[in-house]
Amino acid sequence: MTRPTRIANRISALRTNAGQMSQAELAARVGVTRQTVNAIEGEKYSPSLEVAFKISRVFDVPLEDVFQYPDLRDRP
Amino acid sequence: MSNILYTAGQFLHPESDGHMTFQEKSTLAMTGIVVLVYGWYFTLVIGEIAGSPDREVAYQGLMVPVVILLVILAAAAHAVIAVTAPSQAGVEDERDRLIGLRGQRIARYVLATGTVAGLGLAMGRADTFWIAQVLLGTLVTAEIAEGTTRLVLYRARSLT
Repeated sequence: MTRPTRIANRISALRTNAGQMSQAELAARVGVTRQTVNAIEGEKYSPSLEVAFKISRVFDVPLEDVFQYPDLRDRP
Repeated sequence: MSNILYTAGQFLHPESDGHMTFQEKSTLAMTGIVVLVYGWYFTLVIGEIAGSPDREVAYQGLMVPVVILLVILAAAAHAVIAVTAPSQAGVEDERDRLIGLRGQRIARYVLATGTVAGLGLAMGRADTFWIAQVLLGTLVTAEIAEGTTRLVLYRARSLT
């Protein structure tokens, strides 16, 4: 039922750069629970596009600066 | 109650930070209550009432205290959960909804299987007492399956 998500992210680093923003503060600004931010950051849950965009706007960076998806065409 | 839920969370997934969302606490509490209350009901019904000559009346009479007990325990559990974390009370986000849907999908298979079993008993002209127990057992099993699935998914290494 569960398989590892391939979507990586830099949320932890971005929070640190944003004045040690807490997961709870990010969660409140995005409109999800702190546990969901924790799951996204730990790459246990891939957020919806809407939440992904909201996160990138909190840090004022493009979406791909927050989330990265590997190019599978490079793999054998 | 809050400490019990925290400890349960750590036991289920020791790598997690242990804190549960309102929905996860609610699911854990309701699954536990359903197991306890219907465990008591089926122990009585299968153990003693099934052999009684007036079992049709007895099991229907038992339904009333079962429903009252469920309502009281559910209300008390949710009141405690809400009081211990008022800011989270009733909060549900997209991850909660996805986990809920996955749980319902598993429960649907249990309901379908139990319904077929109930139909089979009806077509075989089984006693209505046993048809009722199979149908009720199906509802309870589906509820437990849904709750268990949700609890596992809340603590899963990945939810995609």
